[in-house]
Amino acid sequence: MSRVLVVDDAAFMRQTLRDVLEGAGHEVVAEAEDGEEALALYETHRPDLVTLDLVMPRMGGIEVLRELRRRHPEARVVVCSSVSDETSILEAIRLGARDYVLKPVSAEKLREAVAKAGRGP
Amino acid sequence: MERYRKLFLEESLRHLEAAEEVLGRDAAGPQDLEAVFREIHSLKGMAGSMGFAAMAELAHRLEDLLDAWRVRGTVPGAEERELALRACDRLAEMRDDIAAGGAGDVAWDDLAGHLGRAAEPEGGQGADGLRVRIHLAPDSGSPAARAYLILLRFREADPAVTSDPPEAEILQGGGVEALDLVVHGLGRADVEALYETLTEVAGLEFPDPAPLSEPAPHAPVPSPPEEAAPPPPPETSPPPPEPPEGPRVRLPETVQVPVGILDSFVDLLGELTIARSHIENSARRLGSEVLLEEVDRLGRIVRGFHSRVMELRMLPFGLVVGGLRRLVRDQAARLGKSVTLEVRGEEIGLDKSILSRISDPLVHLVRNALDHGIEPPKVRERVGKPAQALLRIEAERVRNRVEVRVCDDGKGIDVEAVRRRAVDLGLVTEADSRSLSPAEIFGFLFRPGFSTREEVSELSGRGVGLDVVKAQVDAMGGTVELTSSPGEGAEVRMSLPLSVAIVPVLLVGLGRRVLALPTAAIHRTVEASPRDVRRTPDGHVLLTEKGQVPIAALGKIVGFPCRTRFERMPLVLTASQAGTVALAVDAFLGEQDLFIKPLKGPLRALRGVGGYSVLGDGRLVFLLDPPSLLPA
Repeated sequence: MSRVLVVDDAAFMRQTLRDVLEGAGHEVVAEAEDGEEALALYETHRPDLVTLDLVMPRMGGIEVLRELRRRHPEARVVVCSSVSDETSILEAIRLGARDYVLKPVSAEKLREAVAKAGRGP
Repeated sequence: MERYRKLFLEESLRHLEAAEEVLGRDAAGPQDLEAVFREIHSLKGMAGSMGFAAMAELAHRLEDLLDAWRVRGTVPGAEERELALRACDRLAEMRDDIAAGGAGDVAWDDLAGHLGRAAEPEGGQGADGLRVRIHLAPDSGSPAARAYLILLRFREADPAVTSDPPEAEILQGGGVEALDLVVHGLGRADVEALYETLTEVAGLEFPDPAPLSEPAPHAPVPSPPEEAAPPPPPETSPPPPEPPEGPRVRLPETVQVPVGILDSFVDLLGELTIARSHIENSARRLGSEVLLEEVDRLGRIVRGFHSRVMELRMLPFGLVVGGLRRLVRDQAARLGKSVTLEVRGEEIGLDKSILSRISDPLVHLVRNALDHGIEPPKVRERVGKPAQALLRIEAERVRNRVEVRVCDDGKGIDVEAVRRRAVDLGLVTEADSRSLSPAEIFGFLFRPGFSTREEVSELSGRGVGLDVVKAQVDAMGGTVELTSSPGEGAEVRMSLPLSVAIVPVLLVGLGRRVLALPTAAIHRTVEASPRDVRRTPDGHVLLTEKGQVPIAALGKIVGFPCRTRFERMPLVLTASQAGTVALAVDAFLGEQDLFIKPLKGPLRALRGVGGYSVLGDGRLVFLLDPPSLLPA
């Protein structure tokens, strides 16, 4: 089971993600509502996994991902984004995101993505 | 190349003997057949990388047959085993031909048809790589992103993977239903394991190879090694003009290339990479989106070219193992010890520069294990272990590195003895040593002069001259660590880059200058705030969960002007001979793969510098080697 940092600017999304993740036995160690907070909380908690929204105020998800992977190449990130944003998703994958889940988030797909991203090499 | 040839001859003989032994047995079970499959698989890989096309092809065909048995799950009858044995005999003849200076071109067309019929054409992994088809889930959102993710995941395992649709097309976006990949150096099991880590996928297939590589009933057959009879003219096409005299010219499927040319490829590739960065910088200055797009495209081509060139330079790990087998056999006999050597990952490809430099450390470690680690049979029985000791040498691809491990089940190393000696030598105070983890304590074994034969072999059983191993591994850009439990054995684990020429680095700024640190040497980077830093009589230290880490200003060490700030101080944590140290720099400038050129002439005397490169903007950047940069 993974220790997860949930990053999303929408409170209801964070709650949804938390419910699904905790329901699957993961531990949500912190929630961040923007990119800067995400980076700071990552340093504090060193989670096994980050679920990352791409569109956020101040610092967007792509920038967070870039910075996070620069500082911590081992960081595992599952992107949560909407389908209209394919270019950003491709960019996120290029930057090393382990997986992505499209919004609206299907609980089943999120569980699978988090389970698989949390293990393996 | 002569050296590899010798290794190849030794190894191939061993594989064949092992295979024939099992095939000759009446009571061979599925597990034995699995072993034969592995022997022939290794043989195929070795023959392929040595350019012995006929041998590789026949081994491939035989492997298909063995794979078919495997899939079928039943033990084959005598007739089928006879066929496999005949193929082994033919492979042995090819090997003899190679030993006699030939290329192993012994005819085997009489076997081709039988082998082809006996083996269900299930596709396989030839010199062309393994074909893989992955179906995306029909409800996969953004299939292009899904396909791209799968491609990148496979590229981590095989940098030379090719895909259909190709990357550029995937990145255009749009509908993809299935992704066809050709992977190299991965078996079906590897692919299946990788597939298990994917999401939103709906099926995995190993399609048949293209019809071209199917066994034709009259497959073109290599000419016999003797030149006695001229080959019969082909029936369907006019005979090619023959040279007036001498052996028949046969254009081979593979060519042998002098190693120097491969090296120059890497040089040119480096120039190309640098030229691309120059163009990119110019394009940015001009603000030309069109040009930037083209540069991006160029970058992808360069990367593809890079992986191909690197692939050309790959040789199987198994090539260095042959000599080790003999070493183990001879040394064990001499010492009156009984040792089984188990080797895994012989097919793993390594850049020839790494392969040629891994041999010495491996010999050293194997000797250590035999001399000092593994106990005589009597002693082993007394402590309740099997008289026969087990020595394992394993190579494994771990992301974009190779891990090479040497493990034995000998007496292991007493961590307490190592700790005491470290204290005796004044490397650490008694009090500090109490808080060290076993891994940190074993780390002392790699310090120069720590382990000497007389003292350490007695008290710890292992670790003689490990500083030499560490120096050799460091020089390759690798890392080495040791773990051990007393009574249960020891494991030395080396993590090596796939190639020495292209080094992933972190660029750091010092004033207006730029320096590169190999990311392999970096534990982590921190932007420290004032509350993370404390002043002590010995200078500043960084407070971490694991204790205090001394801070050293990199600018002072290398003599570059720098401005050390104490708010958000960028620190690079790295290993030095005196333990972990935090190097203070002015800024992190980003990570990059640099093509490193070695220093020449008097510059070679520069301490702590591992080479140089030229950045995209034309600036010269030195690659630092942290362990040798900092005094012990």
